[in-house]
Amino acid sequence: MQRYLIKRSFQSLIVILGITVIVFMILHLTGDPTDLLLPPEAGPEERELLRHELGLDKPIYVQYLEYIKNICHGDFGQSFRYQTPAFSVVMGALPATIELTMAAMILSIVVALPIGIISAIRPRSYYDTLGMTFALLGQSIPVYWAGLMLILLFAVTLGWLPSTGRGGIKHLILPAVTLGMFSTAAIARFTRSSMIDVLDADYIRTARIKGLSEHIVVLKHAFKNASIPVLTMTSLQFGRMLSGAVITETIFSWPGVGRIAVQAIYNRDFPVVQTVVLVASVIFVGINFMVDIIYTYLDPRIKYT
Amino acid sequence: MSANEKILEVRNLKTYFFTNVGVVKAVDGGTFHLKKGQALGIVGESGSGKSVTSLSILRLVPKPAGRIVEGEILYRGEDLVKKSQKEMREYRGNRLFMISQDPMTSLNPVFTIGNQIGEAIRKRQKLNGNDLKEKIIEMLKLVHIRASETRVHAYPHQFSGGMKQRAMISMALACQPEILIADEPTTALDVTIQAQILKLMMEVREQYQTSIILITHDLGVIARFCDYVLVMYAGKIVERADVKTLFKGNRHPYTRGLINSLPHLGKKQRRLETIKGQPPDLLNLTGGCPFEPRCDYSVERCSVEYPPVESAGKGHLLSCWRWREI
Repeated sequence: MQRYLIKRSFQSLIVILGITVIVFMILHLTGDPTDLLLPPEAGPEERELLRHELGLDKPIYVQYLEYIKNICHGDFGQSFRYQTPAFSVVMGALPATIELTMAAMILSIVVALPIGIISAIRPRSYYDTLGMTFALLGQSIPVYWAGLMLILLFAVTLGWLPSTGRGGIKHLILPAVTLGMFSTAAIARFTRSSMIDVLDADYIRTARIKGLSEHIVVLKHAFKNASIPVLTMTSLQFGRMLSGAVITETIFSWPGVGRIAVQAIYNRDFPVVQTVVLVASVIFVGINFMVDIIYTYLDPRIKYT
Repeated sequence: MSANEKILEVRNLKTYFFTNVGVVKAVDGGTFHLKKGQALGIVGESGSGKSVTSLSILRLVPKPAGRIVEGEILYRGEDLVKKSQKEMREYRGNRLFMISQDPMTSLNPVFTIGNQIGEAIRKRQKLNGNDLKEKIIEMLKLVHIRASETRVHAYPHQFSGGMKQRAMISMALACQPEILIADEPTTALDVTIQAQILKLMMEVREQYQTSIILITHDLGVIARFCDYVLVMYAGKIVERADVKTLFKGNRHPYTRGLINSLPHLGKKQRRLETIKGQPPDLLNLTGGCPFEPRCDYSVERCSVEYPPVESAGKGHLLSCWRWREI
């Protein structure tokens, strides 16, 4: 197990490094940030000066190596826009994003698991049809449209909930529902199919032969087995949520990392964009790592060496 | 309770499967009974309705396709067919238990053996903590699992096939059912392990006076283990007799075919005898005897009319138009 942990940590590091390379390259393809930082009437000398100041005049691989070297020293670069460290810009917005993502995730799991399990126990019943119709809608409605419709209904027409900004639980509801909708649907459908497979297994029959109550048969014997693929699915949804947050945060003016990222991309604020992606990928890789460890607790047959 | 009391009585059981391509009459009019402490064998080819019969008794016929459409299953006079699934939970475990064919898949892979046996024990006795653990160890010892103190914490994948089947039997012992149904308990195991498992089941039967229904297609097992035998073919019981009559005085051509296909010790045989042809397609049964196309004795009547159940002696019943001549 220990060897596995070391090996996996090393692999994770390579993944993150790969991401930085790709992001770095793509960003530099988007154009010259000095176009946006200087007023239109600025001359070529001023431009060269700024390029030199920001280190943009060096060959791209040198820029990249310096970037990595600086990260190792804890320096993520200065935001071109705000003239403050990019890392603190991102970290300042991170709690808001974590709050939103966690709320959306918890909402998804709490809603999706019962729908999936009940649908699986009674396939083709009214519950099942209703649940799966809901899931189909959840997966096919675009996030931005759903967000706008929710604002229209609950904020504009009914006036029950605020449409923008971060505050108490009331502010959290609409963005969390919008962000969690797709995942809820995906997890519900996955739970259903996974449970249907497991409920057919011989050991479920054994549990029934023992005269166990249906609760124990379904929630203990079936669900623990079905939970492994569901967990995989859920961890993938985390990644989707991190990217979905970009749209959701923009719609609801949620002061999170997603919104910062969008603004930074518009402004070609390279250090901020790079830091956002780096932080997001560390979180995602970390979650996947954790999930792999959780597998060993759910299924004793999974052993890492 | 007298030794001769009928503890289970099945009357005219019909379990059908309603599929997209038609109705499969998996069990079509099964009538038999089981006495206290008796071992009843059910033999027949794959698809003859042996397993569906046992699942019907437990009311665990796969839904939604399968359904008991007719008949009674009387357990001590109570008709199980009329019970709800919730009521059936009181019968499963404590009174009826089934060991299924494949020990590899019948234990839950993500819980320890101890946990799964513990569930069976707690159905009978409310034990917890160390008391429960000791009882589980005791159960594992009863089925001769060595180092049971540590095996309690093992998972099914750490057990061999024979050990898993023992674990299943220890679950049965924990439940102490009155009727133990064993659906091909030794099919998935190799020969030496088979003998051990059967010996273990005989011990259980003698010690607890458990009535046993043994489903198998191994006539050797039937001969050693059972008192009374049902022969099934295409969902119907074609012959029933005590074990001696079945081997020596059988009258149904199908039973005869099965017994003739056994290899004989000390007799030189180039090829084993077989029953020619294939088992019938249960979707396309005619009104006649389903064995007719494969039967050496068939006459015209066989293909149009199903023969009635007739008595050929004490406790010896069979369905064949020509049994008197055979």
